[in-house]
Amino acid sequence: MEIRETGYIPWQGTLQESGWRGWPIFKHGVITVFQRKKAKLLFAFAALPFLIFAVAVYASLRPELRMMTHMVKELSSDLSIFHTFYTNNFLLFTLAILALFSGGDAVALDRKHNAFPLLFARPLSRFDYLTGKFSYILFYILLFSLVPGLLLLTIKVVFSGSLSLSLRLVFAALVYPLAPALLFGSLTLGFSSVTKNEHVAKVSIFGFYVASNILSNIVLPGRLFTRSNLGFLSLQQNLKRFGNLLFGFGGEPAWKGLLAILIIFFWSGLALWIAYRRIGKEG
Amino acid sequence: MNDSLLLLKDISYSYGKVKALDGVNLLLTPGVYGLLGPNGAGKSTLMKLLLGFLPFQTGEGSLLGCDVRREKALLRRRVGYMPEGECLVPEMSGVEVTAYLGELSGMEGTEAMKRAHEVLYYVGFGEERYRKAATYSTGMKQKLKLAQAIVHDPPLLFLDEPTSGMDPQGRKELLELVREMAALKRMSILFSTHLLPDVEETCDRVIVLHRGRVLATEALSVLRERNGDAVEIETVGPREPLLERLAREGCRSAAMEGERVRVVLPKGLPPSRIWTLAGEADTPLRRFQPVKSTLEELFLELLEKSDGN
Repeated sequence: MEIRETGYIPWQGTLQESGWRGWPIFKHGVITVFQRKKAKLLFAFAALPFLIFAVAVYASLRPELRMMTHMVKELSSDLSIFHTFYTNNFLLFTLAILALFSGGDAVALDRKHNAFPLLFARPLSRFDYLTGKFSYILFYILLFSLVPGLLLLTIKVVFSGSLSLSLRLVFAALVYPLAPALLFGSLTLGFSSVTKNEHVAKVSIFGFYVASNILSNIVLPGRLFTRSNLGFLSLQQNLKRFGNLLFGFGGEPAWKGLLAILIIFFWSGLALWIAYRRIGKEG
Repeated sequence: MNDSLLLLKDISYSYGKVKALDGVNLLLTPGVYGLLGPNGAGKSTLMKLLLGFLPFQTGEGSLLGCDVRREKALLRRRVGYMPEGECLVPEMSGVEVTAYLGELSGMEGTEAMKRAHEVLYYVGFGEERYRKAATYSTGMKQKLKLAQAIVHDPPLLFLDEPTSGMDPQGRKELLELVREMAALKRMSILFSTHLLPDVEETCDRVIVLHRGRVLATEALSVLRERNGDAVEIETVGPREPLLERLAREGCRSAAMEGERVRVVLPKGLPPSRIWTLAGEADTPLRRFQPVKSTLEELFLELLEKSDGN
């Protein structure tokens, strides 16, 4: 390596003073995750529910396939189709995997390599840093939940030839994906910030998701606890209960759905607070 | 003072009961400064305070006209920082790191990428800039750290132990870059190091810190002048009679390699006086070589004086 003959060249540009400082982190995060070896395989896997439900939406609209709606109860109404799409175990599990795949190393890697002094010597606050990291995790979760939901709505409009969609369906289809995105995104950031080892962070996120389900499924015979109450321990069950509330399914009282979203907010808030505290004081 | 680079008033900082900075007052004009001090002197704490990594406990200050306590974002836009030790994410290539940090400084994406190539080329990277940082040698990592610090062309550059762990050739190249940037007089530099020869090669002024206090803030030439001339001598025969006479005149002497003795003259005493005293002591001189006091000698002397007080 030889030092260049030409000397130092001053930069003539001007630095941007306004705008969201987390943008470069978001952009870098999206590109880095996309370039990972197994990304395409995971994305294909995560797109499976959409492909299946796209067929379901199409089938529900064709008169010659109407008989299928009698055979498969999930095809009985639009709300039912979208409820099943958003709250099925496969999609929720895939979203959790996507979160840990895209953001398991988000903070852990910077901590491991002591990159905070380098980052925070820039006009970057802890808030900018955290929102930058959070945003690209949300991007990938929403890419495989909200975006397919919108595409399914589009398919429905296109093949039915009518714009008459129920307001509840549109509202629920737009709002529901934010819950798993918030929960998985924040838990990923939280776990990623408490360790310097990205593998430990990923295993912890996965373990927390699975353990919460297992714990809630343990039926404890007793007067105080029933299987139904223990469901609140499960991340998956809380997401499903919130889905039941929004789409009007499950036959459960509304308070259970409301409590579920409160629990989701609690976990998300706690995880983000931990991440904020763990990020270097430099910010 | 509008043309000042740095103005600090009564800055103190403690880690619990340990006082890292104790009533620091500084007024610096633009230039290249060596920040010197033994371990625990408060160099890193001072840098961290100036970068806003640590909160101010007492005192106030301004850097490049920005209030250090309140205008952190504005200040960080105008400062380049090369941290000590490992801080690069090994999965990123040299050009990615530099462009990414340029963007975080407020550069537009395409512009940051263009400038990243420019500064990496300047510090000596060719095709290596596309390789991941994990594959870089220590010298290359240090140069990459320098490149990211200058990517947004800041008016002030903080260098924290920049030649640490480098081989002699790499060190020479890096100091050459720093000297070149300093010579342009576009950029002020605060060079923190424990390697005094590095400061001698690159800086024209020094700030000496010891136990959280500023012992000196002076131009190297002034510091040398204040400490008087030094002469290396070698005698034919016993040297003690001459050394006794020199001591009576206020000279300090230290035995060097072989038979040589370094004599530091008090201010105002001309070196020719040694010839006179040698004549009086009947001690012929075989060697008489005026030498400049090294920074190390000046530095140690300052510390000794401070400890004595």
